[in-house]
Amino acid sequence: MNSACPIGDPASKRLTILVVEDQILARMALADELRRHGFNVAEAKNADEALSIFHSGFAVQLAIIDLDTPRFQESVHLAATIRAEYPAVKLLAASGQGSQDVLREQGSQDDLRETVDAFFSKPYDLEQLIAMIESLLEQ
Amino acid sequence: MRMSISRQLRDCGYAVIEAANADEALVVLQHGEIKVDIVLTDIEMPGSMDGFALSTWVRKNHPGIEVILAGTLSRAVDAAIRLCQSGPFPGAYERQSLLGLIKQLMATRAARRMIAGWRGLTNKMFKSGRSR
Repeated sequence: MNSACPIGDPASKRLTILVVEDQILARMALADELRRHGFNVAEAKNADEALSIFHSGFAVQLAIIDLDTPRFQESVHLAATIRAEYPAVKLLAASGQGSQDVLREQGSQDDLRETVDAFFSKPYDLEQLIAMIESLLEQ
Repeated sequence: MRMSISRQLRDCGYAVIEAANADEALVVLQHGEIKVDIVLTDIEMPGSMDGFALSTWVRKNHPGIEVILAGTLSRAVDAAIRLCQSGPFPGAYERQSLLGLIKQLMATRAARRMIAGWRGLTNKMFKSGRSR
């Protein structure tokens, strides 16, 4: 892999958001809404795909990691890996109530709250999500 | 690799849905309110179907959809170029940028991905129940 030549358009001023979500309809819906708001969006189905995108040199400014997946421990670990290896990337973790309960039981919620920049409950309120993203990216 | 081809297709005017495999593609294709015009698919993919089986399914169930099988990265790039030349914004197609893309893609590891493209109306699904 040639990380000296990142894939993507260096002339583009659009910021890039990575959406990590294993349900295709939810992933495409969220990605499309973000594109409508002017962001460049990369999509990953799981942690492996997400890390491939980072390791390929593609520039990502913010990642949204959905925790509502049977492999949510991988997602929690993904957040920690991104924070450690790509500290400039803003991290937003999202889950419905069920995942939050499980995280709390496993003691992961506090770790996650320290790792990510923002925690978002689903179902998404799109306007609030966009506002949060814009606020994080302005920092 | 899916990402770079998707991006080029979007830049030349297509609306692109990215599916990681045939199973995800079927979820999209079976959704009653998502209109797909073109399916661009790899041949070898993880999951229950390869590209040939997906192609057969599409031709049987959605005969109006154009199916493009691209078993290698270079074929996928060729397909993207052809689609852009005949796409919604042929004027936006710049040979130079696509040649640059080809160089980048050839220099990196090939991936197995599938892309479905669609034009027209879509109905978005959000867990908040919002739809249009």
